[in-house]
Amino acid sequence: MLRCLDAVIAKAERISRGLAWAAGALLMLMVALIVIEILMRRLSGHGLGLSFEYSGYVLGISASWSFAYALFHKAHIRIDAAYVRLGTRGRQAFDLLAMGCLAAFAVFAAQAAWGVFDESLIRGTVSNTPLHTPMWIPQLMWVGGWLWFAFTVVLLMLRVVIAAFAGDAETLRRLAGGSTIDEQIEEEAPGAEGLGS
Amino acid sequence: MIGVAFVVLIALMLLSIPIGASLMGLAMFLSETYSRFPLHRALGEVLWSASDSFLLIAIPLFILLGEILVRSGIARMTYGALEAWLSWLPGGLLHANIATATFFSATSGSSVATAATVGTVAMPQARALGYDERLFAGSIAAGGTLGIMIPPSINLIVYGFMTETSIPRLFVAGILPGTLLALMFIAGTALLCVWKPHWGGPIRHHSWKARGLGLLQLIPMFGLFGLIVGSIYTGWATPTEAAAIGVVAALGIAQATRTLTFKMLNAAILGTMRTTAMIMLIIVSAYFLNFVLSSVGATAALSRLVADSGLGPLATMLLIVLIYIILGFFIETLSLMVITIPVIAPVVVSLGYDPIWFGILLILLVEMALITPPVGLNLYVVQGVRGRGAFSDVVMGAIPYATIMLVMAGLLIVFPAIALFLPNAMN
Repeated sequence: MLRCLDAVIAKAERISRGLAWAAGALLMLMVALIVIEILMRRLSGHGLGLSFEYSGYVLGISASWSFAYALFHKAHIRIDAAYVRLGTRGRQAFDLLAMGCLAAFAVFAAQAAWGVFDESLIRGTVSNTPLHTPMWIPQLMWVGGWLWFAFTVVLLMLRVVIAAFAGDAETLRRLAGGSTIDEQIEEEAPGAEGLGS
Repeated sequence: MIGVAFVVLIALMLLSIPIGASLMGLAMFLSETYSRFPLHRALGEVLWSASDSFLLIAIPLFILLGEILVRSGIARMTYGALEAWLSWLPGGLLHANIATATFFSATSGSSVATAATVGTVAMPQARALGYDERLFAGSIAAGGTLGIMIPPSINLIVYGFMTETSIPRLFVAGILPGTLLALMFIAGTALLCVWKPHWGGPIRHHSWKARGLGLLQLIPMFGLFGLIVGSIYTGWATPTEAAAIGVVAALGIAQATRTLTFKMLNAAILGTMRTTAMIMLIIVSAYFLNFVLSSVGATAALSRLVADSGLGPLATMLLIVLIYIILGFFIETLSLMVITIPVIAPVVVSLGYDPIWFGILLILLVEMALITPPVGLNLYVVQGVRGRGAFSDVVMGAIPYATIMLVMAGLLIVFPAIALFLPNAMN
């Protein structure tokens, strides 16, 4: 049972990575579109008028697709002024609480995001631009990211609660613990490896 | 109500609940307690409108630009070139540390990435040449903070978004104070090393030929900075468009230094999305909190409170500076900005201060938060890269620079033109 859950989590981590990568690819496409529009505007006097509208969608979509990936990498910031002064027990309690609150937040926000998508779909809302984009299309992609994020946080929360009852400190720390400074440097400034010495 | 909100927020954060969830928690609490309308019904719309933004997409684009640059090996070239130009000054390599951080931050926009990259290049030199590691580490940590002042700055975009202030004008406003601060760091370092030569290290002289070659190596960084800031300043491109152009240019630089591989691009993209997700989760929550705070009248109440307190604009401003310094000891940069801007910026504007000017002062204060313990991220980053010795060495080494920042804050308050001259000249 537990092995099965761990397998699901491992799978979810891979999917989250794939989603973040897809979000990045979307961002790169957006870069291309923006640059093409600038060139067109300079050369022929008018652009396609796509990048202004689409870049907003791309931001919303690419951010929501990456929330889960950031979760697995402990990138969602926690203030650790008190946390670092606690012993192991205290930290574990804080880790559980943090994961629980993040789960509540994610589920709540995903539900609210779903409401926006649902309403656009029912009312047939289109964007207030010459493109008349049916809003449910970008919003479906956006809400998908939120739903996936909510699913992964709940999944991880379930796993850390089991770990807490089982006294499995290692799993608890690995999935929910605060990130150490070495982890943060590795995540934020990997320049070291590309620089050589 | 403001006192209650403050206490709830501090409690949530001390419990180390993720910032996004803390802000949302506070927003829900305030809306349940003080609002007659169910504000949470607007949550979905607010989440969508906060992320559907042509302006904010500049954030991931600038992050991507920085992620590509830190992997392109350009930091080492820049360091070598600036060392040739600056290490004759008392303090030697310390000046190259500050200048490289300034140049690097000017294009990357992330303080942590700047401090870590420059630290990786510079720290081995401190050992090889027998520098006092305290001031050496301090100069890297402090130089790295310039990343959020000199455009393009992700933090300035966040400020502009939350206060509805023009990003191009904010960017332009950051140029002069950022440069001045870098020069003050260099002058301060030189003075310290004249006074106590053993705090620095060997002074080195380079031939003009080496300096000339160095200039060539600075061209990519100068070019990229000129392209981004120039295109915004002249109105040729919006910040978002400038960021997209910058990404393409950074790819070109990486291609030229033969570092552009699929593996490198893959890592840059994943790094970008991780940081983007972290920032956006906080921004959408802060945006909702902002909405709740103004709906329940908290913002107006605080402005009234300040107006009734009998403190003049200057005394209030000094009080605000003090609050930021204290909060900066404990709260990390972005969180510090998003929790304070919704309440403090309207008060400042109601006192008659220019929002552009306050944006720059605010950035200076959160820069200071990056190098003040116990929660000064740059200090930990430099210590992490250093990998030996005591953490307190880095803290000690950063004190002179934190002091210079305080002087700079004073200058900004006395001479607002330092920040406002360039944006006003834009019109």
